[in-house]
Amino acid sequence: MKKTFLSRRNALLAPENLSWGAFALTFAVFALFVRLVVPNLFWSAVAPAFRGADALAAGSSAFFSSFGNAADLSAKNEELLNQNAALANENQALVQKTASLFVLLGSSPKTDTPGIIAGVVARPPASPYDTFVLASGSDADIVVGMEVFGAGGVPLGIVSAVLTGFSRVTLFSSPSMRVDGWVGSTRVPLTIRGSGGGTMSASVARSAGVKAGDAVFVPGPGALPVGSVVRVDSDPSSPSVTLQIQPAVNLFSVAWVELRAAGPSFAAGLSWATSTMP
Amino acid sequence: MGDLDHAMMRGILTLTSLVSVVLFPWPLTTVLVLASASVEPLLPFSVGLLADTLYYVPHAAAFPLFTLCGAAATVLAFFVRSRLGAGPIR
Repeated sequence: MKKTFLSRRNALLAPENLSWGAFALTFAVFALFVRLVVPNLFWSAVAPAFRGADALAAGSSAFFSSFGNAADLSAKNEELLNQNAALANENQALVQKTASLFVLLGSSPKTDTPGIIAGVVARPPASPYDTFVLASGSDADIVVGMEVFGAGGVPLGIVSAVLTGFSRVTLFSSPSMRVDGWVGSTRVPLTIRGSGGGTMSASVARSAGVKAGDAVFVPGPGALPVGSVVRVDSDPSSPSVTLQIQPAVNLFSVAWVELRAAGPSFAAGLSWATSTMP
Repeated sequence: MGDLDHAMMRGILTLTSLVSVVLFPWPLTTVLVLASASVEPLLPFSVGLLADTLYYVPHAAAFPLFTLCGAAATVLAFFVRSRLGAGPIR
């Protein structure tokens, strides 16, 4: 007697539901497997894609900026050149003033130890957790816990994972990051919290009188500017106000960073978890 | 021909979503994946897993959020498809 076999049908696992989705899932699981087993090979394979994304972003930016008004761009360029010249002069005056003070006080200024320069291959907003992927790792003497600086010596974050040829940086704007610092010319102490999306926030007493535009500092060699207050959120029923802080450099366009060992004062004011993943 | 076009569209959506994890800002990737979830229910979970493979560090978040959100979107997409498949509306 001929038996009739009926194929078992499942609405959730029908072949038409699985084809391309199954391919994508297999690819993602394979990528995770490679990252966990041979992380350096994984990042070596992925880095060209990140560099391609960088080149694409730069090309598209140049393409769209070419539609801008040439007269406006020229005026803006001239304004920026003037500002740059003024800042350079101001910087020179401050350097001279510092040297004079050291001579007056009888001690010589300490020479800064050179940091490690590393290229950034992935950054927000492509990287959704406010992290950088750097194209240098332990082969360039980078170790976990080093502080990361952008152009102008602006602190950006902390090295959180290191491989042979790559490392990852958790930015101060990353959720779960906490660092002690100060705000304003009167150096009001506060704890800076990462808010994600390249921004930070902090709470201070209303009586401190912090206003938009005040600079925010973190410890380092002295007080290093990490950003500025862009908005003060105030609730009349609360004795404190919330400061919305914008980083001093645009995290979305950082191409290189400098890494230096974090000082003890900075490490004492930092709160973050320990890495468990390669 | 219609089936071929449909399959090709699903393939293009899948590949674009995977590539967008590296090329595009994550909000754009999220919109693209959610829009594709109706035709490829496994895609949100896959793309979330790939995003966390590339970018997740324990310091940044206690849990791999993109994997979890992708899994939730995939379950929801499968549920919606099973309801639509069981009903008279195709």
